[in-house]
Amino acid sequence: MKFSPTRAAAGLAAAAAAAALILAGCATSPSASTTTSAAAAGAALPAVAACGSGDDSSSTFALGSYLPLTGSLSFLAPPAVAGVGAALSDINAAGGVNGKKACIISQDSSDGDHKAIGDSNIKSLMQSKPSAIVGPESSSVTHNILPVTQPTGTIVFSPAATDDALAGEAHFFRNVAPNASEGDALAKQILTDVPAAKVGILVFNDAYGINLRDTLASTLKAGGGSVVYGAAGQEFPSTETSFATIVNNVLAAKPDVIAIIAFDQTSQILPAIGSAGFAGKNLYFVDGNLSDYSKTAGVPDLTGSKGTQQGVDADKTVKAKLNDWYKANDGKGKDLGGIYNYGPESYDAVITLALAADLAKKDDSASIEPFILPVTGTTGGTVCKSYADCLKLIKGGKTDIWYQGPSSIGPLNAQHNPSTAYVGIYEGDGKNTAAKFLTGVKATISK
Amino acid sequence: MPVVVAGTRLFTHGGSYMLHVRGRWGLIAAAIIVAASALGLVAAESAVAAGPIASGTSCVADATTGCLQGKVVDDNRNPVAGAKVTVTSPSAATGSSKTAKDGSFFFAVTEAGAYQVALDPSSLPTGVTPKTPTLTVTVELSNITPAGFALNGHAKGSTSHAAASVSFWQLLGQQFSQGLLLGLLLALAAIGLSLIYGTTGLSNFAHSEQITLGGFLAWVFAVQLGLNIVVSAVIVIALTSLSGYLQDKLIWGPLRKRGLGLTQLMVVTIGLSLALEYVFQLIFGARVYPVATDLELNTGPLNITPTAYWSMLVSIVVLALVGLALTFSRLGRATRAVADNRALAAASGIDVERVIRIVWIVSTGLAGLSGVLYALVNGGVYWLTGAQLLLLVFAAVTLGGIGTAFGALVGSLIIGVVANVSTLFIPQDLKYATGLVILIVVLLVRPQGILGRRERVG
Amino acid sequence: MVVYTGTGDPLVSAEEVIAGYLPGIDILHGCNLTAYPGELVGIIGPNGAGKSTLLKALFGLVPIRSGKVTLRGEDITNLKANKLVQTGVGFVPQNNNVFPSLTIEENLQMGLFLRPRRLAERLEAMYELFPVLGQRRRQRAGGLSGGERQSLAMARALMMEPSVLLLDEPSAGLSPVRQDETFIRTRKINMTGVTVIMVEQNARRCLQICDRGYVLDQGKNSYTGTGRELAKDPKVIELYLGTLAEDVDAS
Repeated sequence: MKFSPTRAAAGLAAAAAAAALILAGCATSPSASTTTSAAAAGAALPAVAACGSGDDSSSTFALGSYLPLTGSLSFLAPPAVAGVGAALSDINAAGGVNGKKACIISQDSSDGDHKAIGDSNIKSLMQSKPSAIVGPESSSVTHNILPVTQPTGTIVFSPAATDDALAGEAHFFRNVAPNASEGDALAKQILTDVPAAKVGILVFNDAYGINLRDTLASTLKAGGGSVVYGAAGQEFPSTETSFATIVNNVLAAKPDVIAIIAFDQTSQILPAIGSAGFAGKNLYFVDGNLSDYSKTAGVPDLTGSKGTQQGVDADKTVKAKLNDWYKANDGKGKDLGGIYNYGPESYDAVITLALAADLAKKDDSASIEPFILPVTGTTGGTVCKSYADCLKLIKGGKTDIWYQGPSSIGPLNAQHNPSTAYVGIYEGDGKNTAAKFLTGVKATISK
Repeated sequence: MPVVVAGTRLFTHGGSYMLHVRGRWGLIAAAIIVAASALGLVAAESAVAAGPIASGTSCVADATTGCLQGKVVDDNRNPVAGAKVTVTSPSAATGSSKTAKDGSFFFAVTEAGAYQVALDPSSLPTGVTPKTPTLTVTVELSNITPAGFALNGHAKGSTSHAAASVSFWQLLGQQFSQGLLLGLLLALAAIGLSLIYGTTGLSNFAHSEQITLGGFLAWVFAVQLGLNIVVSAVIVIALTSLSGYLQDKLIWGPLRKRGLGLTQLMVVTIGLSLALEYVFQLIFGARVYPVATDLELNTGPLNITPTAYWSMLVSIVVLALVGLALTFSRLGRATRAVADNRALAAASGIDVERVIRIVWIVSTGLAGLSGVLYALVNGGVYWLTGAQLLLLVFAAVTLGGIGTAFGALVGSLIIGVVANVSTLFIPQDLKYATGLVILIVVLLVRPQGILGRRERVG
Repeated sequence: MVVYTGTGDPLVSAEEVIAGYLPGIDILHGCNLTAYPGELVGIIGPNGAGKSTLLKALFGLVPIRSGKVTLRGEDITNLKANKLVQTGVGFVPQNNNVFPSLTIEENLQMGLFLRPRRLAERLEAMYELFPVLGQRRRQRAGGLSGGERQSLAMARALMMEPSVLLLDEPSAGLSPVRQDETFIRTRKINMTGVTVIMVEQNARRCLQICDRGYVLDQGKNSYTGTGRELAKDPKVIELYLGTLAEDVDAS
């Protein structure tokens, strides 16, 4: 291979990329590839048709999909795309919603740094009058779009937005545990391992990090531990690329353990921690950085390190379903590469919305919304575990069904948060490849 | 950065809870947990009858099980094995256990509520006493509840695992070293930026992307192709220099010829910078690409890694070579002549365009080297690594005196050291701001920068 | 004083030159100029007549849109400055004529950039011609006085031993004493066989030392003649020299 990093070529490619971004931003037709892969789809895992011009929520279950197809969170899109796609496939295989096949309107949410793209796409998504929107995955994007969706009463159902502040937002639902429950679980794990632990927290200055740090710190203090570094005002900038200084500072505070609350910066933090001689077993991770570090040079032995992550560790059959759907459709032959984050939650979000529409016998947000909480079991009812089974109950005249899907959440509460949801605790292995699952803690969400 | 909700997690375990569960309770729990949602989602609220308290070496929480667990450690943070821990449930059921080798104890309980956890002082080694012998904790089902004991004193002769003390001066020294290191790496990029500005008047905002390019290419050759890091660095310098040659030949040269104004040119560099950033993101995605050596411990008088020492040495040697070349070589003098007065340089017979092209080649090569070393000592590179440094590089150049190569070096060292040492006194996320504050203060006193010269007029 | 008359083949010749800095705006509307080997040619005229523009056009610094410039019969129209230096043309701009951050010696070295091997020998020659430069060779040019700068600028241009030297207002901004020194030195350089074409504000002094003079007005030649002829021409006196021209004979 000849490597030719010519500026001209780069410039051209960049121009093309920029043009593509602009096009994506302006397109009124669905920009995701869900529509184009129909031919590739197998019979068992068919692609879902994009909504046509007349297919809106007045006549059809037209699901808006608003996932981060581009941007810094794009690695989280495939499992969610697979969850949404597989759910709609299952729905249509069971006869659709209100007797008619469901369709999808897909738009790119991008990330919080590309608000212009997200803003433009949510507007065009709203013009298609979706029955409800599944997404976004980012809390900050969710904050951005709610002012657009709320006035029309359009439902936004996020499988992954964990910011505590989103609780109680009108027409907003989620089936993932908010950050508070994760910080709580992490603190308890630290106190289990080290009584009265002095904890140094490496936290980046981002709403996600601060939110998680705050709950971590308060549970630590309540349980007899203390935060010796990383209190308010001791965050590092989220764009930091040099960590030796920060590590020097945290170690000077003499922590027993260090909790790292960051995203990919962690692969640069770990070598700095290792160089300073801090033992890997005294490190704690969160969902943002519980990753494979086997290929990251300079990382200390992470055996015994621990971490937390929201969401259920889905069982094999669910994982296989998501993988197969993705491979046959949007993945164009590529599978999910072992990443299933928020896939089960995305799947359940779609099924829940569809069942609510079946109960409402209409496809628009205003009709669907009152039935969402009952479908998740808030008022009890007959348990059913798949769309087909639940639909049978509804057709049989049942109005009080309780859908229990692979995300294993408890019924949604008045704040539209799950009343219980799993936070997994993972432990590092000797090869730094990945943390192995230690235990699932079902966190009770009080509000 | 956005408020986001998760990072990558590459599951490699089988996905079955069974695999990692040990012990009697674990097996029972594992059987239950798979069907947890079916069996009792509202279990936490439902009253569970007073149940047994089981002890073991692990505990898995589920709908009907809460884990009450912890460790017993002395004040050296060494685990205390064989300590007797007794728990009493709200319904007065009791269970007790001796701590394992690692000082841990686990109780699986089936009743939610307030538990008493007591440590038997007589079971402790001599010289060790509990701070609080009894704890009261609230246990929830499907959750873990920590109830560990930190003790006073320690067994004779036990080594301390408590964190070592670092004095203020030690810390100051560490941060100063990091500052020097950062300063030298900034200087490699800053000198190039300064030379380009000096010879062409162009404020090249895309210079930062040369740093990123250097880092990514280092990853390609050193990590992906597995070449020796020195060989990789040489190849990267060659390739980034080539990119400088090509961009001057294809973009900047023709634009100069057309007489494009400096403001327009600067806007072009900003556009190019953004375009290149997104090209990097397109090719490499948003994640960090590690370009690090194996785990190295900090060592020596500066308390930094061996790689960091080498990086500083390489930077110093290269910067010295550039400095000597500028001062004493004919081409170096011609470069300064072009920077001083382009028209007069041409009138003296200097091929100005050729000098500028060489300046581009050298500058981009230096930035490439800076990228390699930066990625090496900071554990990796990502698409915005250069962009993060751009402001600092510009600040260093301005602080030292625009267009003077030696000023760029001095400015870089000051910015690097001030930024890092400032973290001792102010919040971490303001550290780069301090460099810019210094810049403003210095410019108020010396508008031409530290080494910039005021020309005698007439 | 020997007066060279225009005989033999011209060294430099400009014919009907039309030129200007910006497209569409001509400053020279058809200028002619001839310099024979060994001549000292002066270009005078009122402000804005295009004197400096003509000099810069000869040196390729202002694009020539029409017309032709030849050196020893060869076409050098719009040739790049560094090529002209190679063919034996030296140029001393009026302003910014030294490299301020370079030392005097480095300035001179830049003058001989194309023939580095002869550096020692030429430096010697220049330090002889301009002793003040030799004394301060390690000093930065940025710290020199106006007169010293002018000397350095000329020395730099002479490093390449040009056959023709273009001087743009060498006396500008200097005290009367320094102006005299400059004119005398210019004549001295000229006497060594270097053809000099100079633009001067100080028309009276210029015509005094010039072999031939050109009077430029509004981008065109208006009068041409030997220095002496022009200095005595009543019309030139009235229009360009003023009454002080009477002094010409006195010196």
